[in-house]
Amino acid sequence: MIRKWLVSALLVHTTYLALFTYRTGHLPVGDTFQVLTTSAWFFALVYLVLEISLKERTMGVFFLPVVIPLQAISTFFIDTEKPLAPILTELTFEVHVAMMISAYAAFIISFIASVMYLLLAREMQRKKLGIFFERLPSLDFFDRLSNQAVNIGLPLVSLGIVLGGIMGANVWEGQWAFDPKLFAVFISWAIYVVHLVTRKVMGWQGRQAAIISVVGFNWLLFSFIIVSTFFSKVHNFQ
Amino acid sequence: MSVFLLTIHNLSKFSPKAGMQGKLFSPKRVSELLERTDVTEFYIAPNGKSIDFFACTLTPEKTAEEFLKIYSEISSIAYSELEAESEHRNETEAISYFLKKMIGLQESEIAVKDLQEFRENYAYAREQKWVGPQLNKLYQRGVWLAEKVRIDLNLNKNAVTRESVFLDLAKKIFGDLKKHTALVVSNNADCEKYIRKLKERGVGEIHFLSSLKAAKGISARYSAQKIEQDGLLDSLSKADILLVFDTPLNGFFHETGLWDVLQKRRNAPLLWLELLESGEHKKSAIDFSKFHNVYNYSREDLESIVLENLKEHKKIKGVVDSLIAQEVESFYEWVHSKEQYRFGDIIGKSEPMQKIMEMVARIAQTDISILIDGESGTGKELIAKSIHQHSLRVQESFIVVNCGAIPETLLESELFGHVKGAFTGAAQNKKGLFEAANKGTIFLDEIGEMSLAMQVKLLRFLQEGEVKPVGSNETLDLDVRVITATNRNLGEMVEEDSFRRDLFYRLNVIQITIPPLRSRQDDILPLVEFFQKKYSDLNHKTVHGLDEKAKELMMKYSWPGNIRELENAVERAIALTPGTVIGPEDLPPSLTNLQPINSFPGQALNMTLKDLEKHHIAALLTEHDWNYDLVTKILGIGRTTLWRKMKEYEIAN
Repeated sequence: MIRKWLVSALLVHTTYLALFTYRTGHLPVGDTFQVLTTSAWFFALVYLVLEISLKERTMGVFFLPVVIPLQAISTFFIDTEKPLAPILTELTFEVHVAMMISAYAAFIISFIASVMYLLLAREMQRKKLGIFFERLPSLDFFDRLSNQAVNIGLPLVSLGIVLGGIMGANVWEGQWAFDPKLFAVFISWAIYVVHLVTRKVMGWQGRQAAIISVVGFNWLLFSFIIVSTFFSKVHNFQ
Repeated sequence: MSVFLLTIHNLSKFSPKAGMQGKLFSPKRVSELLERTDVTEFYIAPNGKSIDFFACTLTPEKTAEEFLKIYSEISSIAYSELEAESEHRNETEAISYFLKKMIGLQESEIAVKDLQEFRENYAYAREQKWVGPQLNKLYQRGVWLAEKVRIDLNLNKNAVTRESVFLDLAKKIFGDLKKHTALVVSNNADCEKYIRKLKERGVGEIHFLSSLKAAKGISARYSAQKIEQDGLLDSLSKADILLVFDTPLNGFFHETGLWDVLQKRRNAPLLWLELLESGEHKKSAIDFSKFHNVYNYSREDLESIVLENLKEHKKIKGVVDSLIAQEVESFYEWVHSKEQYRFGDIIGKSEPMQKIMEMVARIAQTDISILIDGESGTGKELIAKSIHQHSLRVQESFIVVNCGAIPETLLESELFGHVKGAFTGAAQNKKGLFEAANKGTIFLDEIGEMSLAMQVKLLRFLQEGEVKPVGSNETLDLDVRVITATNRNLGEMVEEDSFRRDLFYRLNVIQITIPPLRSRQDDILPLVEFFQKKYSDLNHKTVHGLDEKAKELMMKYSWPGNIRELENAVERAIALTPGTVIGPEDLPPSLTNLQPINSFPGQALNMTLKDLEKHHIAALLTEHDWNYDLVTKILGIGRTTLWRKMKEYEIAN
């Protein structure tokens, strides 16, 4: 029943985005509203695929509360009058944004898996077995899911940053390196690199890895919404 | 009728030699016991140290005592000794004990192994013909109840023993245990339970350090790797699950360098159980906050979880107890109602029918696919209906579709529905039968008549749980249990490519084969009795039964039309009979005008071909006055062959 609602919402959203692309001739990633709503759509899609392929519904409780505010926030930025900066219609740019959104989706999955890992681990370490113990799959499941998501997300975000860098070098001619948004994104990239390295080299897993993933995602959220809205100069194309 | 249960404890007292307890109740002794008491039905279950006798008898007051006395004579064990160790339950108490045992409720949690043992013991008793309708009925109800408790009430959801809690923890941390290693350090025999649980869940390796005498046996039984003190550190560095029973860890720590090992491997999750006696535990208090992924549990921790789970468990157990009480009540109702060969609407005394009833009880509450096969008129629909009535879907609809009766072109829209305009004449949306059966059961009779194209669509439903109405682009998600039936040999049809192999396997998860009536003569009279009652009520006639001659004819007839034919015969007889007893003249002519070959249809089934041949030759010879020419003509064989056969079979004038 609930899945039916999710599927219908996704269908409506897909139709909207498809019509948008058809009408404007470019992907809906040009401004803040478009990026947010496309992300919300993509995250929900990824969640649906995960739910079906893993046959695991418990994550929805954490996943959808990320998607819904994202879509809600996006509506504050609707501005249909504003013309797009010419660079934002280029293919390279669209690929750049698509990669970033996919990477974020992967990081969200890692985040949620990590949060659930921590909740379950906490319950088990406190020795009061309750609802998480009863309902959730194993710690091992979340650990692997989180790690795999980072393994997918990290190359995507790296490529996305490189592409952005190439474009930035053309547009901003050298002054772009100190922009808060770019700086913030670089830091989140670094956090996930740390996640990968500690895992591969130092053998960290379980709780430590989960904590890094949670920190990384929080930082990501911060840089995505706060920094890019209020502090960033060059990365906003008003 | 009355029921009692006798338990004799401490068998080892009577037979000190280990493994010899079985001899105390050898089949010979048991049958002597049965001959000398007035016990009518009997079930015997040895379980380790004690043994249960469950018996139905006609004289409730004295039998248990008499039973014990006679047994004391047979086994030459003093009566007083036997009596001291015996425990005696009567009636309701005995029956609830029996049912509880079947569910496995004796222990704090359902023990699958007990259930298995019970079934094996029962199968043995059935083989020995110790059990009769009463015990069969109880057994069937018990099977049904056990499934209900397992599936519906989920009594085993919460672990209520320490070792199951431990296993739940291990599963929650590691998921699949295949790639993980457990290290057990124990001088306590209790560790075997834990090792068994680990092995049952398929843990990768078990390392076992122990100075127990039984250690060797335990290692062998659970293929554990026995290690010595010097191999401990190595094992420790590999282990993901650590069970320490009786060694306080404090001293152990510094001596063995356990601490170093732990620090090296602290990143990988570790489940660490310290099952020390309560006093010892405090001594080894280690600061676990240093270890992120260590889950440390003491005996007390496990116990408090068990206590917590027991609360929930008790609630469910209360429900089970009231279910058992209901069963006991309905059992006595049934005993007094004389409907002794029934399970729901199924009637049958014969062994194959009893087995079918048990099967129905066992599978009714699952959603497993069932294929019922049997000749026309054997009651396939009744079995399907009975399955539905004993399932959890009983409140929902039960829909019967005869696939052979609906033209092929209409079948799809009948089953799956159609939308407006799907074909000429489809003026309105129409719901299909599958949709009407949603959450319930659909029974597809004569599935062999279904076209290959429809078979694909049915398979799709069975695999995906969705149907597509004719002309519609959308699929419907439905939850329907499918039971199918056929009187054709689907296996053969698969070979001939007229039935899809994949669908066949999908449908044929469980096959119930109803034997034709002629091969289960035991059922004929109970069925006659049932129909006689049904139709005399219906026709407002008082008919008491059949006379001996009519009964004999009924038993001899081969019933090619099976139960349906029998029902019609009885209905006809009741309508025709002028008196209160049905005689041979009231029966249909097919029963009375029997050809010679039909005069022994019952025996014919149990005859070898040779017997049949002998019988046939002898009958023809007698009938035709030993006219060899005529008989060879009838038989289509030569004169010498006839001679040879007469000699072989010792047929002489």
